[in-house]
Amino acid sequence: MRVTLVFLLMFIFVALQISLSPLISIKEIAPNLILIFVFFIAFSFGQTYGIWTGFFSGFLCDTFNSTYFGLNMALFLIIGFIIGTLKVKFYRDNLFIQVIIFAITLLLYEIIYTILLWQFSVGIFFVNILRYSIPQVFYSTLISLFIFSLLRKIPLFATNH
Amino acid sequence: MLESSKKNYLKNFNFWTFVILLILSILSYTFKGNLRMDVVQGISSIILYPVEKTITFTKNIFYVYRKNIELSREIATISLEIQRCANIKKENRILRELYGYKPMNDFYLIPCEIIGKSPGLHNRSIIIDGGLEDGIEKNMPVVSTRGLVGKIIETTQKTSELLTLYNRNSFISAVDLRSRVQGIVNWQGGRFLILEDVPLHSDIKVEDTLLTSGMGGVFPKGIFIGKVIKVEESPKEIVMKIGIEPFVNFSLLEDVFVLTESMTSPLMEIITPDTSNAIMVQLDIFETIKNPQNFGSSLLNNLMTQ
Repeated sequence: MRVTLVFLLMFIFVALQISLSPLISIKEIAPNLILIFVFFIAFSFGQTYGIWTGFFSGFLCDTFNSTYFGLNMALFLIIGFIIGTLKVKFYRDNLFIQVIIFAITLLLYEIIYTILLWQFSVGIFFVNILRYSIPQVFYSTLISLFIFSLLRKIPLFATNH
Repeated sequence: MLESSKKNYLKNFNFWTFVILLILSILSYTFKGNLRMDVVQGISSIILYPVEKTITFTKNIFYVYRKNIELSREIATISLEIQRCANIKKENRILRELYGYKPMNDFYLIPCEIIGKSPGLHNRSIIIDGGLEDGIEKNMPVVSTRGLVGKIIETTQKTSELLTLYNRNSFISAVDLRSRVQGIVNWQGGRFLILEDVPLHSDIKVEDTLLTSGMGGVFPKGIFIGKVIKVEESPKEIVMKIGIEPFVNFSLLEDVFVLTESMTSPLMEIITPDTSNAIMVQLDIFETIKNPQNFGSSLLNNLMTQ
């Protein structure tokens, strides 16, 4: 049952990211809804969920950007695996810790993505990090607070379930 | 004991699953050129198309009223402009004939709605609701009423992915409208595009307009790209550094037109999703696009006369 719900939500989050991001973007900066979802699932249910949610979310994401097919697949998979491993080390009921770890994860994701994309062009790398990545981390973290609280309310995702 | 071995087994199983999937992802990235992306996109678009379409439809309902007011205002302005352009258009046609210029190719316009933008901030591509069923194929140029948007890179039955100017893989041969200096338009991060390969001391000034040069065979000659906003010359370099601001505002873009080359008809057609209801529109892209506004005005004028 939980697996079905996770897959269903994954499709909804990908569709929302693709269709709604222009609507909710501020100065071309939109929150990374897919990463918020992958992070939540991995942090709440561990490695197995993290790996598969990361892989399939990345796959769906990449099908809409064929020039870099595989890049999000690999990055979301790694995030799913690492955050899933970290699950046991943190008290998952603490929303504050969850949001802090999410912000660090997103920042690392942005840095790695930018490095891979711009192939170590130092000037462009810093411009992109300052102009896009850091504001995006702030915006996504803010949105993640709301999404995490919302997802926790789903009975199947509750801690004691 | 049993619990611990089960935990270890799961840990090992997860680890090897992770390794296998990671290798698969890296291989996909490395060999993406050899993958049948149309098949991959076809599968995901079948699953996500209804959800995206519903979201876009709901989103559009809220925009209809505002858009209606905006368009009514725009039509009033454009109507006046059309009257002025009609004469110029006639003169242009006569002069071309007098000079014995070969008639230019005509194009069909396929109107499409944007149903999604690829996630992430960098190298964005756009998903539109037209595909093979509507006659859209790879490498077809895509424009908006303001100018060039990009080109189609993948198509499925119902949707297509287009590569915008804001993509590192986008290289467009451009020409300066005033001085005819040529260069390559590319994006290297940031808000503006770059005009590359322009030799030092070339006649390029701020506020100059750039059009597609027609070289390369993908983009037809004369489509508006953007205006020059920054020109830098350094004695240490052999080329100039030129910043371009595209005419199209990509964050506000909602509708686009895919250009398909006409084989027989001298007219430009707008093909509605149901091709049997194609609207015939007399529009010569090269003559009407004297500035980005004219492109929209000619289009609206022809639509109104239907």
